[in-house]
Amino acid sequence: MIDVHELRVYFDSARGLVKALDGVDFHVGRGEIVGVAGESGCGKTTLALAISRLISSPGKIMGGKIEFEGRDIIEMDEDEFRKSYRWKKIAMVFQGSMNGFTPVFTIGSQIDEVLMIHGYHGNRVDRIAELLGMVELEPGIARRFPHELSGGQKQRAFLAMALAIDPPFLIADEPTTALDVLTQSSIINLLKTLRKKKQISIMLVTHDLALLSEIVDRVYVLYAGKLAEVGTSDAVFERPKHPYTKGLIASVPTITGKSISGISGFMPDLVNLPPGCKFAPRCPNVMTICKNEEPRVQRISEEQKAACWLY
Amino acid sequence: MDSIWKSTTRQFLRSKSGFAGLVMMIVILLFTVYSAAEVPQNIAFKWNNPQSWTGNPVGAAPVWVGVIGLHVSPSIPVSLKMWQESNVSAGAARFYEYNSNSSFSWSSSTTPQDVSFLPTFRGNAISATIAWTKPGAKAVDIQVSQVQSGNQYDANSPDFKNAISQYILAQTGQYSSGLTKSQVMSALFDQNGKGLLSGPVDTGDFTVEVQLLSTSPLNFTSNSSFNVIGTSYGPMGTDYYGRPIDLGILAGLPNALELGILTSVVAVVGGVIFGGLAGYFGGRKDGIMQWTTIVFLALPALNFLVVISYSSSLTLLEEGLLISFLSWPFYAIIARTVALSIKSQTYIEADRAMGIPAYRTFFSHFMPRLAPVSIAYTVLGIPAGILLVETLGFLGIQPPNLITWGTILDSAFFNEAALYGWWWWVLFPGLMIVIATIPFVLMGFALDKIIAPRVTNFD
Repeated sequence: MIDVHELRVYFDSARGLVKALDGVDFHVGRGEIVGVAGESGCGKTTLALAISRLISSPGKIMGGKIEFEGRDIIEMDEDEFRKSYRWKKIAMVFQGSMNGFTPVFTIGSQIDEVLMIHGYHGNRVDRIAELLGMVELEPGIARRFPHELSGGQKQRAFLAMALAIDPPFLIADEPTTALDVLTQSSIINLLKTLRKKKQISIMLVTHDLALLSEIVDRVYVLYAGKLAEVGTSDAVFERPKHPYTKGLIASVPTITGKSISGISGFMPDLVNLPPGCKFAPRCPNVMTICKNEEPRVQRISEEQKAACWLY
Repeated sequence: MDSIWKSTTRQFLRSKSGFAGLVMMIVILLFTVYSAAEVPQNIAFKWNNPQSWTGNPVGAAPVWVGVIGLHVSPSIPVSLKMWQESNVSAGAARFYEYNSNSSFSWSSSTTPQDVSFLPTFRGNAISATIAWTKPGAKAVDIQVSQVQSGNQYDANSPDFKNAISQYILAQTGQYSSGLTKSQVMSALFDQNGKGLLSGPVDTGDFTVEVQLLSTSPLNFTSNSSFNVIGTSYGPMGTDYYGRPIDLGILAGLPNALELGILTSVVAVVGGVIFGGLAGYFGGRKDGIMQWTTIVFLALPALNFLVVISYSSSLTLLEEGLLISFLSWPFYAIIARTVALSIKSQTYIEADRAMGIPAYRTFFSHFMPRLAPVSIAYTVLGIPAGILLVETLGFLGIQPPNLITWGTILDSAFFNEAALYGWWWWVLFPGLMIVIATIPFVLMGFALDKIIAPRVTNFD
């Protein structure tokens, strides 16, 4: 469905080029839920924005390909992309989607606007009720204003809006970050149901590894704009190979109260990246080669790849 | 959408200042409607022509000043109608004689400033004789030779002076020449005792009989008049040229509102759209648009207006547009700031992801957020517009043949109203400028509180 090759997204800043994404490969198949993990600033949101062509100045796609159903959407004319891809084929739930509604219009009228713009042919009022039902909201919500809803309700209403045109591909960028655990799990269950019922592909961007392990088929771990590790959910979470993934998993607090061991140091400055492996300065298993040469993404097993000199 | 407007309206009406402002505005609008219906279209031409006001008292106080203890005499129009025709033959010649009589009651203790006889007829008359009888039965006959229709004969005219000096001669045996207007008036109105020109005013019924003599028949289509011109006139008095101030106030009201509303609406709408677009576009376009705004902001507005109004004669519409052209940058800067903050909202990014066209995002998601601010600024901009327009009128910068309160004040200043003590000439236009701006200020404050609640009321 989505094939990203060697994607480079740079931001022009006063200090120099910020390499937010530097040659990342990414793939989502039909009906697959793929997770993108990593700490803040690793490029996960940039990847999501690049796929939906929302990178705005001073950011720029400097290289690579984003193929959607075989067509490169980077090369596509903006008008064509807007008319036939945005929301129709690639819908997105934002990090702050609960603020994604204009405060001065009702929920219903905003969903209606999307339906109208994308030329929905059926009865729009029925469709809005159906969509709200899909995300377990009352049809009466349509007449409410955004400020009258709770955060979870807004998030679900936005999900309903994202599903308005039956998109085959949904990007969910931190869809549950600001929500309580119960609402979180209900939204995650909702995504699961959607995949089962409608066969939609979902790209789930989050730093919440527990959430990812729960739902995704495959997971991409990004570090400083580069791919650190990729593999099936089981492989990555059970047998992490890359020291960064290991550190990340060890940083997740557990309910039993085992002590958390984080990763020492900070992510490198994206303007001045170290010459070798980007993770070398923080890596517990660092070797001489790590500091001089960049590792390439290597197949480690059938279901797992990692960019590390250890393998 | 609907409920937001409803709740805003409810809040607005509940706030004291909003409600008071609304009531005042309705009253002012009723006066405007009255003005539009009652004041003739060509009033401005008439207003600026001193000849049109010769029948009116000059510098007369408002009629109600007796209430505050000032002594004034009323102005009484005495209409001469129902002319009775009789024929007189004298030898071979045949004369036509027309008589009309009228009376009025005088109760003021002050002598009026003038009388004026204004005959109106068709044809040629030889002479007119005015038989003036005072309540004390003393009578003066005033002979007007070669009387002409439409001419005005007042206490200053030689015919009146001659008649009065003969009257004085008959009463006292003394001949007096070079009578002044006020001497003529006191001879006509006072109870003449020994000191003929210094007695108290005679009160009661005065009668005026007018006889016109002609060699050919005369036609009377409209009424002739014999007006007693007192020292008070109308609800707001008159000015140096005899123009009633209340008429000027009434004629100036629609102009003030029209200019105030026009300048405010055009400037705010233009400024908000421009500034809103600048904030919406962002980046280089924003830079260029902001630069343009600042250039316009830096234009010296007064110099600009002076040059333009002296080099071309503007219409009311053009003046309004010119002022808005010079004042939109303020609103553009405010709107740009608001737009920038709207732009950073998630829902604007969401709109882009949803494939909502840019123009649609702007009009359906930016403008509704800018609308409340714009409404408050429009309402507050109206009094500012009125004040500016009146100030410019006072400085003489305004379309020709337009009555504004500013021009009334200008002419009061020019004719030294303060020197004559004609306070009504200054007070009423000045007061009206304040009164016309107050409702908008009140409503603007009320709206501002609802739209941008900054001050919390703890009571």
